Amino acid sequence: MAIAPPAIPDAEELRLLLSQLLGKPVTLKAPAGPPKPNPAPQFQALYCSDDGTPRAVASLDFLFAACLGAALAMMPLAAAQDAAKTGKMSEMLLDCTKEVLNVSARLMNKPGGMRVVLKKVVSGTETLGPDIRAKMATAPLQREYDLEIGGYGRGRMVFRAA
Amino acid sequence: MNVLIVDDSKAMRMIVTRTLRQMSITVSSITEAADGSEALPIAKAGKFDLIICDWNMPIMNGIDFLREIRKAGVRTRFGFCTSEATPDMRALGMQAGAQFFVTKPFTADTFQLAMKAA
Repeated sequence: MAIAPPAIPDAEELRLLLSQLLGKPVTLKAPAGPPKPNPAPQFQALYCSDDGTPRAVASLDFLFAACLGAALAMMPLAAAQDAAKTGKMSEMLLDCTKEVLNVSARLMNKPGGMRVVLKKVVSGTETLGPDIRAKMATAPLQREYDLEIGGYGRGRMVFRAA
Repeated sequence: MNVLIVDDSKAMRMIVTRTLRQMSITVSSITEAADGSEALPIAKAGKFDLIICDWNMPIMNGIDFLREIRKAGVRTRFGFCTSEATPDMRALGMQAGAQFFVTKPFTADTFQLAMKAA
């Protein structure tokens, strides 16, 4: 019997997890319909199953990704804004952002479904391979969330799972 | 209390440290290691009252580290701090000698509760 693909994080579960992890109020809206094209610089997290197969991708506005890391480390908003200006996060900021996305994997792992872990993150000129991009472009599960972290600002997260 | 924190994420080590300092326990010293292989000689040599350890880490993961230190006779109180803790993971961890599990995200209160419940 085929195992179900990883789940897209539930809106309220995601809001609650980020709020608890960051220790900040988080609001979340889930626009209806498929994710809209996003021209903002992106930060992407790739999640793979135990056998290393790419199964899910989270795409975030780069600034919002930096805000997640900054909020976790209790760095000022300016640290995230500076990273967005240069397109590069400091080692600490990147580590914190990765940790948020690592913990978020928990919401994709449901009983009876496929288990995934964070495999890698990419941004700027580094992108996920064409095979992964093609697979995720047509992924059956796609969801877009508009989030706001208290004191840090708003951004978009798009989850795709196949 | 002398604490050893083992996690490949520097950010998470910092957060665990911050959380321990927010709890109503006296923390005398905190030592950090980035994975089980780095932590193994430290745990064997050091006199720790508590080890907080991630599950998924490169080189040597948390469960292998726990088994190794127990094999070496280290009886320090041990808690896993992980992003997920399935019933299988909990059973495996407890069997190997862990006292408690804390799942991320956590607060000082939930962390303390998990430690006390053990």
